[in-house]
Amino acid sequence: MKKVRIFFHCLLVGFVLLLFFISFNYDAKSAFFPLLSAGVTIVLGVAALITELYPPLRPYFETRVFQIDLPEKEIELIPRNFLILTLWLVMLAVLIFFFGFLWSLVIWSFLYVIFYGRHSWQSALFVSFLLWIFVYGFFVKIMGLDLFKGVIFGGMT
Amino acid sequence: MIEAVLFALGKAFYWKNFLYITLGTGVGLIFGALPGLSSVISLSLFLPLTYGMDPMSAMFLYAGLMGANPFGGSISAILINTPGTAQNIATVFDGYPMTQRGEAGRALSISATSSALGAVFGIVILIILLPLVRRVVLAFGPPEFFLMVVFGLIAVVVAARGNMMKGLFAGGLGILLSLVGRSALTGTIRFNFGTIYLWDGIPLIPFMIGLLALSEMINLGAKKQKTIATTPVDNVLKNLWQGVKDVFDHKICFFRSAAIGTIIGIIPGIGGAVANVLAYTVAVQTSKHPETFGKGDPEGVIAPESANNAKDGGALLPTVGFGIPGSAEMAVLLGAFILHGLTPGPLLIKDHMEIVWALIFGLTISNILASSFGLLLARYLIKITRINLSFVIPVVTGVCLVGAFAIRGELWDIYLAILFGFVGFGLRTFGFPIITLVMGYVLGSMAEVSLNQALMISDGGVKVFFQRPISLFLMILILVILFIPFIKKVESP
Repeated sequence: MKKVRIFFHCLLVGFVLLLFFISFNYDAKSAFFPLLSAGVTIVLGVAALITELYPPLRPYFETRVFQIDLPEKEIELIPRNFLILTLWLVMLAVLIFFFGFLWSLVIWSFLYVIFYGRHSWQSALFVSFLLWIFVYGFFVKIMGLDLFKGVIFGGMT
Repeated sequence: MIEAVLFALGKAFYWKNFLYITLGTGVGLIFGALPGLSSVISLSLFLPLTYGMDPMSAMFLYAGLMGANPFGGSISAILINTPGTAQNIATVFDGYPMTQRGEAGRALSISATSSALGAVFGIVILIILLPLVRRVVLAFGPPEFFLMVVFGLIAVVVAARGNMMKGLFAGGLGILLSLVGRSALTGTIRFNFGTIYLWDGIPLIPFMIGLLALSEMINLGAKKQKTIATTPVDNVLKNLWQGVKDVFDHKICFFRSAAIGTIIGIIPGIGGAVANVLAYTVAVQTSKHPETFGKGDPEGVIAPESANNAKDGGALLPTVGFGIPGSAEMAVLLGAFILHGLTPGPLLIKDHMEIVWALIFGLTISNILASSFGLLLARYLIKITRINLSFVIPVVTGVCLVGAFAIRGELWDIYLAILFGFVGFGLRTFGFPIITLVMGYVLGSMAEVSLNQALMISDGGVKVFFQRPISLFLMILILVILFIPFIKKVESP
């Protein structure tokens, strides 16, 4: 987990560095504030990274002004679940692109409840129907929104 | 001022707006009662739904959502030993033991009474302080606004638990994200990575929905937490009157805790969890019989519940006055202001006082509705917590994505929401406070404009920050709060 944490941190600092260098392409007035804020952010990001890499330094930057221990019930995060969930979300994004919102949400929620939630198909059908009713009723009928139809049904034409 | 009060009051009781408050209260109660779903998620979800509404009606809806959430959370805290929201953590300590000894109704009634009265207390303090803040805000110029943004960000970081550097870094990242797109000063397109999509900047709704709501769904899904409640609940409607009497019998505890909640609310970014636990801790420390706490002492419910409801009134003060959110919910509310074309801060107080009063009346009505209906419906509300999260996640995810798409009808907005969902999950998991990133994003352009204006006033120099009394005071305040953690380190080896 530590490696992933450091990688994520480096990714964020790298992104800020990228913005810092891009800022040099703008005229002085447009570049001033981005350079200033990116410069300060890089320094803070590197400082935070150092505290990650050298744990003895960490207590010096820990803030607990109110000195309260919040007894939160922590449930362990399962990396495998995260990867599977990522695939589920990618699947939803792809489905929306091809089939549009209404079909995708019904299909996706149905499959999600059956395969990821491990519930009966009746429950899955109920959840997907409920979602469809809400999305169609509220967004399409009440708000009059033209939901994306999906490329298969001419959404891009 | 009086016109604004009467106008907002009239609007609050107009049937349509009253319905919005009631709807917000209902949803707020449900989201509060369901552990894992917070008011921040409900507010983010409702951002796109209110787009077509007039700003005042939208504010009534938001007030309904915010006002009902803490009491909703106390229902599951008291009945099933699981706080519905982070701001009900301490309510569990004495609320659940009361349920175990058959006094669920009394505990719920204490919570309902102290929640409603606590909220009214916070709002009364807000009403008293509002004219003062108005006067201060109108004396602000560009240097003060820039320093106020810096102060807000640092105050949030210092108040949050965890690595201060990470908090400040997240704030800086938020500011940089706010600079994407057309510059407010020069019109130059910045950081668009060659795409027309980012010309107008990172869209607010997909950003908020992804970062706050979708990231929480990923979090819940990755943890694969199943159903929450298992124990049956009885005696929900017994001893209700005794509960009301308990609050009036412990007036000092109530007032002290409500005052703590209001003060915590005023300090930017701290939120209800700290108010709840701090009020409980103080109640234990000042009690003549501390040994009864944790075993079902009514004061153990009065203190945290009055504090977490009072904090909303306090949190509104920096939000509407200076545009600096007093809590995570208020950060989303700032987004709602922007969405409805309202500029948080002095312009809001100067030109749209009726909006501020709409929030005040909305919060008051919502708290009263939540406490009365929540109490009557607690038996049914608690059944919601038995819903498996595998059912909740697809529904909320679906609504999130449609919501992200709804405002602009842009397909890329849903992909951006998903991207920020993962970014938010990463930030959450690896200890970067999301609220500072959201604050940086919301306040970034204001910081840029006010800094430039301030520098123009002083011909490019920084003297202006030291010459004006308010800005000098803010500079000193920033330095003081920045060094508080280090001073505390020296004090306690």
